Amino acid sequence: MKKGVLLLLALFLLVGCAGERAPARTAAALKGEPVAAAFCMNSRRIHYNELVYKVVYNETVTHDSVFDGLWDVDSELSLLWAKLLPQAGMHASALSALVPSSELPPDWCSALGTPSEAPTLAASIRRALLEHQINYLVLLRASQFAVSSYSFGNYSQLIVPGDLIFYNVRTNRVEFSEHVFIAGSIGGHSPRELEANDLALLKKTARELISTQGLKTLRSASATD
Amino acid sequence: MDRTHFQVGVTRKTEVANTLGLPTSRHLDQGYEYWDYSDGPALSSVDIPIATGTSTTPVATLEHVEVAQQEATVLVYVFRSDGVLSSVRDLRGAR
Repeated sequence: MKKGVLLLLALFLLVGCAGERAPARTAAALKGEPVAAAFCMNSRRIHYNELVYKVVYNETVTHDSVFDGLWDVDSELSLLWAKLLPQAGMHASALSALVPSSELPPDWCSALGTPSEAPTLAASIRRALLEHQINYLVLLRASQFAVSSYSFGNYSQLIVPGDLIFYNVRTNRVEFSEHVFIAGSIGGHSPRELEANDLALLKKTARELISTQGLKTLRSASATD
Repeated sequence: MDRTHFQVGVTRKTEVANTLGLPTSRHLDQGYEYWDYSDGPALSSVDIPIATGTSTTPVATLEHVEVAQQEATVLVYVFRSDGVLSSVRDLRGAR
């Protein structure tokens, strides 16, 4: 069973390392001019998935928790994301500093499509960014948080599945998007502890994962050499 | 054993969340916020080893069975728009 966990961890690691690269022109533009940075989460939810070892068989049990209204994850992690971008060679401002929250439609983030789809960035955001001479939005979009646990090894990890998106505001198109799977251990804590103390462990772990794996993915995707 | 007393008109959302954990689902209706708590995790699937092959060359295969059980709401905490507890509904007796 432990081999299975190790195999899973190795797979996550490989997925995390196997990054795609944005077109050279896009990567160069991101590093040559100011950009907007944002993090957003489609569903403010934690999906728990636990594999329970029952000796002669295994069970998988699931549970969902919602934190909507308790943590403004988009605002907090957008500020973090903007602070991280200089480490990838980009000069960034958080989207919240450029566009008033009242002008952000509730579904603006989930509405963004893929490079092959029609432009979908909300007009109010696009207008505000262009007024600030911002041509690119560097977006880390998560679908939700997920927690995977394995009862036989007392191991739990937090997962932030989503997409890294480089949006050209001027042409109104996604120039690059890549699925990301950011995951890491919650350090020997039980999953239950993620929700204690105003979600302190969830917030800390999410920030650490984005500061390390999220940044690594961004560096790889925007590499110009 | 520690005891926590929730008091209608006094207890706030954060205190409930820090004591019980996050709700399973949440919705707003006519100025009130409803937090639904379930009776625990739901069984999603079972993996059962099945012995096949012959007595001299036994083979064990793992059969995956989807169960897709749903979580059932057993408690509903209702909050006013200012985040203070308005009422608690215990649905366990009705099940």
